[in-house]
Amino acid sequence: MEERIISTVIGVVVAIVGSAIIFVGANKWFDQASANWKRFGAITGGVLGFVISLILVGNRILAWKTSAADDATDLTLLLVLLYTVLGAGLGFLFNSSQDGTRRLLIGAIGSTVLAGSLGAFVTSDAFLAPKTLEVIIWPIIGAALGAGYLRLRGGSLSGRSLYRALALGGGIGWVIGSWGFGNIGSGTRLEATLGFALAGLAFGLWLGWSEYPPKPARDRLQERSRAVIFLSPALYFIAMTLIVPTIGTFLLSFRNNTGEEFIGGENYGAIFTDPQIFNIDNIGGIFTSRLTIFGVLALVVGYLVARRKGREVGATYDWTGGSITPIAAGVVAISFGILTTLRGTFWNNVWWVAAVTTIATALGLAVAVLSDRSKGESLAKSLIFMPMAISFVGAGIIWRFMYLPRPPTVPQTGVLNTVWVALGEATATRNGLFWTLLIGLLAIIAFCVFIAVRSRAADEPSSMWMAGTVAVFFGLGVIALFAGVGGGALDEAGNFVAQPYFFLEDRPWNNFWLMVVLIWIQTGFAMVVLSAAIKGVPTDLIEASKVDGATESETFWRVIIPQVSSTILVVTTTLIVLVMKVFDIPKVMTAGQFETNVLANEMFNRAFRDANRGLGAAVAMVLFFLVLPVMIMNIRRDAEAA
Amino acid sequence: MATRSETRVDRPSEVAAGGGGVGDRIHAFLKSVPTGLLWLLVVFWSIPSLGLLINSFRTRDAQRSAPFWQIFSDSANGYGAPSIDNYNEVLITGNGLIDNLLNSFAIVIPATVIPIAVAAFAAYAFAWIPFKGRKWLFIGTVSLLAIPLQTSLIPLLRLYVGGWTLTIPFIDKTIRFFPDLDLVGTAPAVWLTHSGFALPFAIFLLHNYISELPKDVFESAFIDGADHFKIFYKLVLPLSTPVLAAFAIFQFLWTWNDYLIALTMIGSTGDTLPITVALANVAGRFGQSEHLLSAAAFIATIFPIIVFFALQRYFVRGVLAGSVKG
Repeated sequence: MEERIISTVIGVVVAIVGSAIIFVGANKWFDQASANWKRFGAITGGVLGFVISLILVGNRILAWKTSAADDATDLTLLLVLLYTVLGAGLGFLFNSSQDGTRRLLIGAIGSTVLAGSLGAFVTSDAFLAPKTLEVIIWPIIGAALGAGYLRLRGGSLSGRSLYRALALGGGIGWVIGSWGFGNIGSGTRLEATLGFALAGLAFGLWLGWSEYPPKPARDRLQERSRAVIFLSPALYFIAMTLIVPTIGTFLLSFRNNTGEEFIGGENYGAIFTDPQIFNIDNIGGIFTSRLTIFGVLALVVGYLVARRKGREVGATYDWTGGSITPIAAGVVAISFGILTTLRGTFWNNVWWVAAVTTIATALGLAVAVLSDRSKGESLAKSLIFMPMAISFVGAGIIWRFMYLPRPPTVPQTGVLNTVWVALGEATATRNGLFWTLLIGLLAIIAFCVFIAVRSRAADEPSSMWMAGTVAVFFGLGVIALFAGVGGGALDEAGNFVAQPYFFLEDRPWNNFWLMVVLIWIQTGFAMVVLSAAIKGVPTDLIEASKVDGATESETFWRVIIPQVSSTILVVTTTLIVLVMKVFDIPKVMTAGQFETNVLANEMFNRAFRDANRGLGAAVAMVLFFLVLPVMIMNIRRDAEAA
Repeated sequence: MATRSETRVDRPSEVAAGGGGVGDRIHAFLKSVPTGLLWLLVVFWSIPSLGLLINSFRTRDAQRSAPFWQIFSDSANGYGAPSIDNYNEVLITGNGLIDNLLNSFAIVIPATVIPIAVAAFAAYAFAWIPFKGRKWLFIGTVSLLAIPLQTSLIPLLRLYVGGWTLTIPFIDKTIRFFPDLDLVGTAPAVWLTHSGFALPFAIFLLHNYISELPKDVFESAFIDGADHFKIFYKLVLPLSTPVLAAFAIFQFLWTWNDYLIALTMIGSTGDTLPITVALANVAGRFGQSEHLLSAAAFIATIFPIIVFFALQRYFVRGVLAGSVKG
């Protein structure tokens, strides 16, 4: 145990100190570009020698042993040190001379000798056997491309710049022609030496033909290098963990289970023909789903209200609470109607995104408004925000206890089932049901009185709210009369039999009970962001609308909502991206069973459990394409803002 | 929305509606209803966590026989009095979660420190060093925020198993870019991954803050002959402490609570599991360890909760800066 702690600490310290040294060192290095050109040359030469020899050693092209025997001392790492020193010396010497001819001589000869001397250490595995044709053709192509590039950049095709372009292009062509196309391992040491030396010569010529940089040019170099130094660690990390792997996954998604064979779009075909993932057999059921019918009715009501109220205020439509609330409810109901009918992992994911995003945003907005400047605001917000700190795994476990069903014969211990069964017991008899409904009715009446008094106080029409509430109550009451309320019923002997509700097994609604967990977590996020936005609405604006005689509700819908609409958009897009890749909650709560699988879990199972890399990669790409629209939207927004 | 009136409105009609004494009292009561609604919601929101916390102290029999609010009658019902036995068993005698806590710290600390440093440099460069293509490089970096990390997992796992070699087409030569470090199953595989994934968000967050620092500070420093590096560590770093703290909290919570990356890079067996994976394993053995699960979940949650409540102000600032521009 202690050993592991110590090794971890050492690892972290080494990584941090090492990175810090490299970073600070790089900054100090380019400080010298304007401060001391000779020293800059020495450091640059040393770094180049170090990096080049390290790469060659790492790829087992160079090695240095005291003898051929097995027990010979391995001096290979000394080689890196040697070429660092030699490179530093050459760099110092080169930058010390301002005279053109001397620079050319030092650059060309020094670089050739240094590169050629590498030949002495080439392992026999790396003896080069160049091919005659390629060795001639590629330098010519390279030189021609070099000249062409110079022309494109608008440089004149004469003098030093031409020579430099030819040397650099030819040198790169030489490396491609000799090392790239040659047979490595079947040639001789002499040929390998030549391969290094000519590359060195080309580099030396390119360097030697350059002008000795005047002070302003060196300052510019110092300045520009900072962008590279500051950005390269981040860009390197991002490239290694995000960009290259994503491209890799894209390519892999067209390959078979081992990733070795190209199979075209077969993986994608497999995904969208698998009824477990993409099942649209019941598509006709959408139109007969009660949710869809309710949703359409709500939309119609919303439209009519918007029309009527719009005429009252002299506009075509009026988009305030009275019309937006039923429309929003209708859209949610219709989307639920569609997504409870279409089954499979893919549609589960879409349902997650639709439900969690809208409900968490709406609840977050509600809490932000309710808590605004009320007593104990910060405590209330803290408590609602707190689930953000809990891991999805932890939250999954917490809610598993909430949902837990026990066998009907023993007492329930899960919070929701305890309440559910208790409610069932209370309403199991006609008498109990009557009293329950009566209490509910009284509560509704009290609520209507509240609405009426509040509305009179605020000069607002209240009929909408009252009608809505009463309608909802009678709907629920009718359901309760026919189906009973709560988990349980009387058996023939008149004894109460509990019927706990299996939250995690009742498909398709078990999906929604899983979503509740994420809503529980993310409402706090939406609340915090929206609350700040609401507090940011200028007070004058609100005052002005009051002076103009706007009611509370009108101020909210016509002033505050438009002011925070961009924030609502940001919250929504953030949530969409987050919800799309949900994994932990279904994994911990149901392991994707009972038709609750999501794409991220599907991807994990295919790629790592079934070891089918190609198919796993294809599922990951489906996820990627699903968030792509959000990504493009974000890019466009950023581009406008920047 | 009726709720707004209680603070911002002094409409004459509202005052008039109050009328006399009784009316005033009724009105005051009605005004408090939205606040009541809020607290009702708060109670609903807190019940799940509260229930877990209370259950974690109860015996197996008690947890299996009665809901959490009957904790005070546990002894009377013969289930055994509440105690810290579950914690003892989960942490030390049974599951040994204390090791997993340490494993989590071994991942979380480097995964928090490294991206802060790397992102601070990059954010500074994007904000204050002019260079060609800066705008689009920045937008490109930030847009990676939306990439689901699932698209990286398979190739990253292969990178950690076998390093990265690139075979150049046509000439059929292989170059090695990343050595085979055999990282799978170790903490570095996890924190390297976290460090990379965190960067787009970190750069975005820090850039929002650093680019808003007053311009004259930089100009006068430049006139005094300071270079970017000096300005960065003498001026920008000290000025950015709040946003660095905000990101550190974010990253701490995110890496501590991560399950997917740890599960992929380490797996679900072995002795380097972080706390989330260990907790999921306990949950997977629900039948035998049901009574231990709430204690285990609470242990896994306690550090983030402490950080959350102690540094909430910074965390909120981070959430806001990260989601709203400016």
